[in-house]
Amino acid sequence: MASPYLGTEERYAVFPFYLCLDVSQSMAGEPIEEVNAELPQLRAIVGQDPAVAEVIRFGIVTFSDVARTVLELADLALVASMPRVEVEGRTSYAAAFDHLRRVIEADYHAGRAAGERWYRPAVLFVSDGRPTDPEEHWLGSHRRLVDPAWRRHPNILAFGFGEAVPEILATVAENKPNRAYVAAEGAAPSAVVPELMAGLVQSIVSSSASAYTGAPQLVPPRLPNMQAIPVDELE
Amino acid sequence: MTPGWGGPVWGEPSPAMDAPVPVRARAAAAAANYRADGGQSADFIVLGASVAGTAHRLAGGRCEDAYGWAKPVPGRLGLIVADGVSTAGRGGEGADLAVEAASRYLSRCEGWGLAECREAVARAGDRLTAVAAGPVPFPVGELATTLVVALVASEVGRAGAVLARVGDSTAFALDGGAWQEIFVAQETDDLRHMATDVLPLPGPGREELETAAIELPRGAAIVLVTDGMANPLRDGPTTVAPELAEVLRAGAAGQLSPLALAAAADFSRRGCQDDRTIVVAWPRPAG
Repeated sequence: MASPYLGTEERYAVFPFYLCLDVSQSMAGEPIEEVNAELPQLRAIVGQDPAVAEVIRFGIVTFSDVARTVLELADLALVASMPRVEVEGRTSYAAAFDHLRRVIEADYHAGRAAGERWYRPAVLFVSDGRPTDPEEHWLGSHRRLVDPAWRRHPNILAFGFGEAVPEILATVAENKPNRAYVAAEGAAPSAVVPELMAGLVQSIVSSSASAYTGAPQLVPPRLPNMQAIPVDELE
Repeated sequence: MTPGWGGPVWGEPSPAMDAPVPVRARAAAAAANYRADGGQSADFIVLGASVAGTAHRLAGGRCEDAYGWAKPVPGRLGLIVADGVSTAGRGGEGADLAVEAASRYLSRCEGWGLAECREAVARAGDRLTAVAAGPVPFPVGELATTLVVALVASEVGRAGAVLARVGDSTAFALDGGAWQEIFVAQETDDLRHMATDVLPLPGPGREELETAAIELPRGAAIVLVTDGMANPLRDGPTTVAPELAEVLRAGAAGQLSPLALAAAADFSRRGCQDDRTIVVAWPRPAG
């Protein structure tokens, strides 16, 4: 009896997370310094817990006028140190979304060739401002990223502070409940960024635990000083 | 006892299996992290085992899977496996309740076909609803669990089974080392599906259950498993699948103990930390 459903090659489940980080000029000073201070902590917590590191793969994409990968998708247990992120130019959401789509597609095929079976990838989108590119431009890029017809389309959690616009963040998170969060107006980056990074770690750890226990899901973080952006319910 | 209690390594080892298991704050035999049972009769050999995954062990949690069987009369054997939904809150309790309710129904029912198989699943759902509506009501979703039921018949010259399920626990036939998944696989693309794809009890009505039927060649086994066992079996065609088949080969000859089956189910494999349950039966048709 040959089985049409069993695989023909060894595969290991992984849960990919992409931190997509705004590094436009408005992040200069305290916000970017706080991010750089927190990234090693994220690596330590995720990478040193064998139960988490076994399944989580983590990469960092930054965006300003252009987007770039500053940490390739990796097992954080094998990453010696986290990159330092640097402030660059303007805030092109289109660059971020186009880059993410290319990177996810390439990483998926590389992982597939290496014997990985992916849970749906997660994007942790962090911005302190509004997009500087034309609306139709970044919306088009966003549509391509979340297009259900593209099998690798990610789930997105969006976080904002500073000049970030709640309605835009909600759009980035596809207007799904508990997927978009914004800090209180005027909240200091020195307080927001550490809480946000801790929340991201908690989301990653909880999501990995859900994968282990048979009900994998992208678990939203608990962020006591950030508000979930309300989303209208459709009839 | 090894620090992580790990069984054999099938594929790339899991580093989490090497971590010492903490003492749970509260434990009882009925919710043990290792459970095993089995027996032989003229018409069947049956073995079952549940082991807590390392995710639950290292977090001080219990195994939230459950299994059971009912053998009401010669030639009939009902097999049951459930996987409590961890995020539900009381999924392990729901799995226990569902298995118990299905087992009780199967031990008394008159017929032995698809209608009874559906009814066993439905009775389990009814039981969860009733418990949640008890003196201190709570949302029945807290007891969410998967459930798969197989009614195996061993008759003169033939053996076969009808099955019904809700959720992603599943069943295989094992014949001469070859595995066949009995239900059509849920995955339709290359990504592992997320929690929203699992539709656990209490859920669909009797007519909406997923069902299947299979004839078992002489010497073949029917194997019910939770996804903690099914996923590595599907993903390990050169490791888990042949190694587990080899372990079960001894079972077909009546030479496998329940404890040995539990130890095998506790294999180490990277990224596989879910609870694992397996119930396997070999019909022994006369003639």
